Amino acid sequence: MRALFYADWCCIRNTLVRYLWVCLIIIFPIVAMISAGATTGAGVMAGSMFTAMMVFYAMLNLFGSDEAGDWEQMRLTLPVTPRLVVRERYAFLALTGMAIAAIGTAAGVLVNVGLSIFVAPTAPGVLEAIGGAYGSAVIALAYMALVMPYVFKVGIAKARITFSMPFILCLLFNVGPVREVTRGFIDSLERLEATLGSPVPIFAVIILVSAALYVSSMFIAERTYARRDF
Amino acid sequence: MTTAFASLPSLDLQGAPCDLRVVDVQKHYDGFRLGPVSLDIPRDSVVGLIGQNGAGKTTLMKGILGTIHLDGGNIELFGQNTSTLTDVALASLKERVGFVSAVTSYPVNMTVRDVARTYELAFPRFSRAEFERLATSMELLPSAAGKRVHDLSRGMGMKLQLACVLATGASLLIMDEPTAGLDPIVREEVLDLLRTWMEGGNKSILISSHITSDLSNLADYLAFIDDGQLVLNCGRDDVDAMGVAHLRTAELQAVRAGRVAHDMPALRHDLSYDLLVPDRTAFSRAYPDYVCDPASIDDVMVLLVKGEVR
Repeated sequence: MRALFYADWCCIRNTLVRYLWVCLIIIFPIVAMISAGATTGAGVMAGSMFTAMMVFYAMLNLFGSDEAGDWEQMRLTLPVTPRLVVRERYAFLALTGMAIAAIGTAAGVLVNVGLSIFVAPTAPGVLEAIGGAYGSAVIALAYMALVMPYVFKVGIAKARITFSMPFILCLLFNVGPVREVTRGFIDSLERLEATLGSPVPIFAVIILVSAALYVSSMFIAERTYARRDF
Repeated sequence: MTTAFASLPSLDLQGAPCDLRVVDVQKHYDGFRLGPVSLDIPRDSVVGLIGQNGAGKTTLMKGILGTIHLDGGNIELFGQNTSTLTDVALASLKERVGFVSAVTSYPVNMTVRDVARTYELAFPRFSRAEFERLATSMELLPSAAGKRVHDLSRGMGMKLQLACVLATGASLLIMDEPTAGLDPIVREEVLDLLRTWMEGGNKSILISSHITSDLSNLADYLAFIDDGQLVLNCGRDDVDAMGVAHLRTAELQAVRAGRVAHDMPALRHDLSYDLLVPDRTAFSRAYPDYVCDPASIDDVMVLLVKGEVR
């Protein structure tokens, strides 16, 4: 397991750092420009976007590295089993997601601080930034939980269509009926939050459901991967 | 094990200990069928696996390594049937097996140092000192330590694989065309390394190669696969004893009517035939007037694949 962890880390460390800089250069200035009013939401939005993009990028990069140069086949000749390969990948992505969310949180707070200094006074919004970044990470991981059994079954090259789904969903949110349904769902969440007096129970349920989905997905992926030939 | 030609020698190991036994292995793909193939890799020996492209060598190796699912048969590693082992037991057994691929199959972003560290974490008996000694002797270290896999040449990549695998403490190596695409100097270095490794004792190698001269210098046994079937499995001495008789039509007919090499494949040329002879000494005794040259592994391969028995 440690060998696979190390190999995965080697696969993504350079590109992740490179992508981090790209995010810093592109996302944050755009968000800062859009939020001319300089609200706390600007930093939260930037941190959330950064986290979601980085987590997706980590996944794509890792599965892409598996297929580049037959590493996925070579890896199975080490003293590991297919089950261990799947479990390691799920654990690695979950940890990476949490680490990226921590960076996203810090980046979101920094954006707020920057806006406060250069544009107009605003709160650092630490709790909001944590919620935004970790919420994004959880949603990204939950989405991965849906697609990873298929990716393990056929490989990332054949499963690449699944990664266009989030973008299609984003576009769908702008379609009238879908927007109405989404708006209704958010309204009901806000009413629930008002009833409970705190968003924490809602977040807790979302995290628990996502975690259950992620673990279930891992067990399904073990089965799909075990049947695969290289 | 029986071969397609009754006159050809077959391998009789007489109960010698085997690190790897392939028992009636079968695998079907669309348009290709491997096996059933049975093959033994005796301890302290090098078995060369030869055959045309697409004959089934790599499929057989994948079956041995467990990267494909077999449709039939089983693999015995160090006396244990791998299909009956638990995950933990199988992983533990794989600590004694090293695989060398035809191409460098590590993630391209890894450096030489990273690859060695991965092996160190994967194989509990990995010797860092041995890796450094081997890598230094092959001029991989210290200059290329920080070089990425992507930037390694074919030869450097193979040296990296070898240095890693030989430092794992493995006692069985499975090598899929390790010398393909290497220049003669690096190829000789690789073969030297393998010969030195074998001197340690209690080790064995299954190696496939198109470069049959490598195998004639290294292998103790040869297994020839054609169209998914094992058509020859014998000692290298048996191949050394083989010959190619150059015969005219009447001479071939005379041999066909006789008792020596009568059922062996012959390849027709414009004015003559080349006949594969399992024992050229016996053939020369039986037919002293016929020309019979020693057969190379290439000759044996070509005659077994393209020759006809009529």
